[in-house]
Amino acid sequence: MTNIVAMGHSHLTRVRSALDHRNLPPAGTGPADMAAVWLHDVWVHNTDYAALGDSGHIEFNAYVIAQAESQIVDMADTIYCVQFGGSGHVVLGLQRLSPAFDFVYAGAPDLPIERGATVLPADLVSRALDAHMAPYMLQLEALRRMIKQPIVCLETPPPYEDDAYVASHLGNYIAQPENVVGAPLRRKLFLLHSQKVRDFCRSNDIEYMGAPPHTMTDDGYLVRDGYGEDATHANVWYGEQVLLQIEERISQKIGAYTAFA
Amino acid sequence: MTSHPYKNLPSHTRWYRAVSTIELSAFDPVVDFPFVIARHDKVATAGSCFAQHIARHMRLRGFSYFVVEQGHFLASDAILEEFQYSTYSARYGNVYTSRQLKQLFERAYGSTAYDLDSWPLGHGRYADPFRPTIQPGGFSSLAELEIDRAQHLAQVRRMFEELDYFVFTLGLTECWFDRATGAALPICPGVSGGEYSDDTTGFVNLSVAEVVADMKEFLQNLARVNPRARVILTVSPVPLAATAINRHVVTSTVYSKSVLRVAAEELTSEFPHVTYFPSFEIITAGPSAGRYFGEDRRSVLEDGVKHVMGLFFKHATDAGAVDAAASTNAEASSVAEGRASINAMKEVVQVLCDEELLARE
Repeated sequence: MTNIVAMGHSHLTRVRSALDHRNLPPAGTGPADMAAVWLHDVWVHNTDYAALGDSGHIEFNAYVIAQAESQIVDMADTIYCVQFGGSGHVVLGLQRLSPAFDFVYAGAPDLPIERGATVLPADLVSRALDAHMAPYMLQLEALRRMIKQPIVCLETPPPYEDDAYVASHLGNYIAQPENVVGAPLRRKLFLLHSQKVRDFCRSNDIEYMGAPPHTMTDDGYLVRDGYGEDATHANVWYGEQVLLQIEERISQKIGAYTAFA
Repeated sequence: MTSHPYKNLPSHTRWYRAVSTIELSAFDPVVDFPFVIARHDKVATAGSCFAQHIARHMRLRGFSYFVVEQGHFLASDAILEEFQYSTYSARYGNVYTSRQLKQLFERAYGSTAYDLDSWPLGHGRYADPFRPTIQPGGFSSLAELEIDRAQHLAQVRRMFEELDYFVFTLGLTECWFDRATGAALPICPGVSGGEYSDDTTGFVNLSVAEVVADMKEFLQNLARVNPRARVILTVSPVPLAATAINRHVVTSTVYSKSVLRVAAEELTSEFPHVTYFPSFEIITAGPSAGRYFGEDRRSVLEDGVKHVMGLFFKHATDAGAVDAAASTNAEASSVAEGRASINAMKEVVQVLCDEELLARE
């Protein structure tokens, strides 16, 4: 039986919702030939996953790992599925900045440029993105240093294509919701963000799991079925597709689930 | 006692009075500079490495240093600097030769004579042959290079049309060019991208006549699109790092600087809207006698740059009227405002994420 320790921030919430919908028995009590998910909910626990340690390095929260290990009988067949942060690209890709910017993403060079935007080098945008990604990349790196088990890093949900939907699902936080970044730039930022996380994972012995292919349109946007209640997170349906993808990865169905306390 | 033409000339015409007997800090070879740059005047710069100092000090002193390619506040100042935003008024990199400057203007206004596409750098990356070191690692795709180049040239047009003063630092006479198109290159192919071959790459060491001809063409073109533009020429005091001619690098340096200095003289004599500022002399001649060069005897020390710029502000600007702080603060506050908007978005995203979590409760 594979044990899956799931942890992360807001993007993991849809996975948790999907698990809730499955009405599974508590982890440790399910069928022996089925996997069990042990999920750490950062919101419930109000914990930080990592912090600057005495060593001068970012260190993963040992308490969170100890909690998981205390409940899992056999850590040998355990993998960690994580989705730390994941919104760095959203910071730059929600409201159009003034002046507007855009860039050419080498992997999709034909995506259109925002009208009137200053075109910046992709490498410069990538470097600017680093600052917004650093907190969660450091968490990922700290986790890798702390544990020996395989880590699977889940990609954040693909971007929405529908500008009007994004504009109408921003809550009251943006003064000019009509001034949202256009879908092509949202997608480029998503692709760049994913590429950076993927590259980081490759060089840190972490497996990277892209969004389930069928959750994306031919143009690389989230399919309508996955649209959530806000502008950036997907919905429970999407969370379920991620669960199915994880099951395929481990060649086991998930038969039990506990949000560990 | 008989009279003679030297009798009534001022002190600065006498070596003993103007050079021999004065301290380095008091050395001032600028005489009757014809222009007075005001704070609101748009000053654009281009040229060899030394021109970067002029740009930097103009900005520091709160002048309206005219930058048409500023990058974007989403990146830190350090990153923008690496990508050469604001190093010069536009992102053309070092324009070492008169030929490059003439060509830059022509390309900006649509000339396709210099049809050089790209230099592959490997791993799917490309350099722009006209500015091969403009960004670390080159461009990430051909499409990016092409779009950036078109945007750059459009901004160069804007710069030429809107500037009040153009400060150009003549740097080199040794020039590599593409044989097929005649395009002048800032650097020999093979050094920072491209491949060198005798068949495809030519070399010319420009003469006074050639530099003057290039510059005349440029000046006439500039006057056509911007009749009010005034031009300040300087000659870079930085010696050649290397010469492509098999002779001593010092010999080539002296040739090069001599040609450029003479060309500048001819141009200022012919065009009333063009003048010369003697930064070359301040660093290399008279009391300085090499004291402004670093240990490598090539790099100009900051003290030397400050001397040059101090005299530049004294003679070429309305420095007394300059409210340096106001101008610098205005630029800084616009960037700060932009960066604050990104931080605000960060908070919005955080709130959205928190709400996502709250929704689970």
